Amino acid sequence: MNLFTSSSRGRLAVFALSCVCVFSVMLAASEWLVRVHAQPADAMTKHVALFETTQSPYVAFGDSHVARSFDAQAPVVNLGYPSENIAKIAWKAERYLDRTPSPETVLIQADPHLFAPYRTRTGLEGYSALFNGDASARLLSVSEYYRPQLTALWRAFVTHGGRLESTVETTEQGALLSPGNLAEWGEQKIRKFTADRLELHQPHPGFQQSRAAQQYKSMIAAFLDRGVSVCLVSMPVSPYYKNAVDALPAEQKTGWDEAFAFFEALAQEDRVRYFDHRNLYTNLRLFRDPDHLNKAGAIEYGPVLQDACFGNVKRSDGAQIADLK
Amino acid sequence: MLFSSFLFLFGFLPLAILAVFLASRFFGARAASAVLLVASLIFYSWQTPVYFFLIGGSIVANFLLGARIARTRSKALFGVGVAFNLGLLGWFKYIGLFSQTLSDLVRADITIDGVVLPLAISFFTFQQIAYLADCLKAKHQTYDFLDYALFVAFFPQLIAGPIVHHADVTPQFKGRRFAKFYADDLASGVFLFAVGLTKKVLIADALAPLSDGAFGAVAAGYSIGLIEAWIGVLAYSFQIYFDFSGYSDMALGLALLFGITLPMNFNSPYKARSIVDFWRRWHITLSSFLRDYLYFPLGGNRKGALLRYRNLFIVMLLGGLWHGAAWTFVVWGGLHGAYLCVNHAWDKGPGKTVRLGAFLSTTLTFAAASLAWVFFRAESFDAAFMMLAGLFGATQALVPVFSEPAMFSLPVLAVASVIAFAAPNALELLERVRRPEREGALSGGAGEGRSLAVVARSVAATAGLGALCAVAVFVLMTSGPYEFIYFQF
Repeated sequence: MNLFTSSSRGRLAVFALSCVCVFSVMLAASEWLVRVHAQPADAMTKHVALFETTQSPYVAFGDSHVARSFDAQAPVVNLGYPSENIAKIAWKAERYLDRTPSPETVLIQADPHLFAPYRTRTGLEGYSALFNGDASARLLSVSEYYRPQLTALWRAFVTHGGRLESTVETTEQGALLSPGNLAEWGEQKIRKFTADRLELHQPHPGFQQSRAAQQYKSMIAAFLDRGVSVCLVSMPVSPYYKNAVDALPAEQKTGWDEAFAFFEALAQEDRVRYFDHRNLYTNLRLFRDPDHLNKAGAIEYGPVLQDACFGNVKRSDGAQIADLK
Repeated sequence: MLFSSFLFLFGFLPLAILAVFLASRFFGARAASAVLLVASLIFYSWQTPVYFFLIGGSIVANFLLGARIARTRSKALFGVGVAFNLGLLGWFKYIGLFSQTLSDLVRADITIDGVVLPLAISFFTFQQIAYLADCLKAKHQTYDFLDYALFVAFFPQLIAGPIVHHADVTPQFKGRRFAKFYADDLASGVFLFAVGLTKKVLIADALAPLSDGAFGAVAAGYSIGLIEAWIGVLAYSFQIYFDFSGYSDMALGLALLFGITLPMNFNSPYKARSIVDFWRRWHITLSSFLRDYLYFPLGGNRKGALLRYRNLFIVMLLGGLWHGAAWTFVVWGGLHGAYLCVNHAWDKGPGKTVRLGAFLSTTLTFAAASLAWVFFRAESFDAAFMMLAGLFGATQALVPVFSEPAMFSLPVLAVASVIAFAAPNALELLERVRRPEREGALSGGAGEGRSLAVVARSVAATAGLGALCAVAVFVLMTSGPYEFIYFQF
């Protein structure tokens, strides 16, 4: 007598069966986590809905610097979203232009880290599927958007006692107002965080010839072709971040200087303006971390940026914002 | 291509197995060898196709040199062969270090940088030098080119070992198990591969945030506290063990799928009771190579204690340099050289009468190995000394060293230590699950009850491993593979 389970083939079968079963259970549980807990609380869900429905001729594009730091007021809509690279911003801009009848003014983020390798080496990563939205028919947990986040989602779910709640407040106009107070961090922590960020944010050497730089220029050209005014903005950063950039050794600082020169050169075009707002705030209480404003900062900065870029636009309450031109 | 990548697991590997199986089935073992060689070269050149010419050129040159050396017994030709191999290694791996060091010494900028280290060059260089040395001594069989090329390029061992000896592997390409895909080989191969994948993904990669946090802080010039330093160093000690031994387990398992048995590379090294014992258990194939082709030619232990210590020290210094092109690796090797000298001196002296006991000797050995890992992992001497200062409580952490997610790795650290010190290793586990087959456990008779228990344990272990493997694949799917630490060497 020889049991199936004591043979080599039996061992292979037991292994495969166990592997498939456990994997299936994990996949099913993750799908439940995403659909029941993550997606309803996810700022991205609200962002996609806003992006797909807005007809506003006044919008802002960028990554978390724009999304978190600009508390836009109607009719301006903040279409920035964290971690977006130029490929994603350009893709969204093209889609926005395609379906908006008469766009007028657009804010585009002009920060050097958009040309850092950690941003330029990634592409759309399933953005089109995410925004095209037949999500109910697919396995969301293996989508390119949720799959890389599953480990972090499970960790947060367990840590928060079986709940996933966003601490970020999404406004009607698309801003992601964030908690946090840099003033409570302590000097050493800020310096270390800033040093780590700068290493990550270092623009790619020779980025002007990169595909990302070409995409950035093409995006601006596409807006100008449609008669849209373009407002380039280097977003506010804390004094620690700004000073750390200024103190970089010459060989590293070159990339940053070239990036700002790149933005200034683009602003030579008619109907393109460039605002360097990096130095605007020194009060640490307005920052969530060294390079993002928090909710208080975004509320304070919102009218300033709105005046600068959309100053000739009437607010939804009818008031005329001073025309800067 | 990484063993722990989806491309390898669900693309390259099934296709390679299918192609070799079909070649073996319809055209015989030689065709299977040829197909496996092609697959191995594709595996090697996948990310950087130009490396095909590097490994191809190295294989052809060494094969021709070997044949000529075997025929002529020419030491000069052997010297040329060694110089050729070390020259390649020197250029690709050490030119940056040596030119930088020379620049510092003469205070002139003559650095040569930008030379990219090709994968596996440290490994296939050593294997081929050993082959040439054996050609000179005529210890080897005469291999044809296909067997030789496959011995060097065989993908399971190509990137990070084990450093296989030609005499151990090449004859197997003509053996009865090669490319036959027997169920026992497949089952055992899958088992070992799954153990390795689990060790790599669920333990080594999970510990990375702790070691990266601590060593990243000191690399950035931040002082570190006692607890953070010990967590970082312990995390790295286990990370490198589970990473490298996981890779070796995967390599053994993959080779077994093709009916090839590779030599054991790790035998629970942290259970070692002395540094001498540690080096019999850690990276065994490297230790064997260094012993046979460096320590013995230097004179070994035949010319008295002092020369023995000198030889040990030289071997370990060069072993350190082999691991990486930085002086910190040399210090790591030097520390182990010193440890070995102390160990031998102790054995000759007080150790004859004084017994430390298993717990103390194992703890001391692990602590010594862990302290040495500081130099292995640190990015500079400044960082290493800052970490040592933290380990001895001389400094305080002024910044948060570990991110919030990294704290989730602490339970993994505890599990890793239990496995490393108390659990059986992959080959021992494999023996246990194979026991019912070997013993014909259910053949009836008086031992049937005991045998049923053996079978139940075997099934439970196999099912448990399947479950862990599923978790590992799931983690890979969600976070992507980390590169193996030993790929850089």
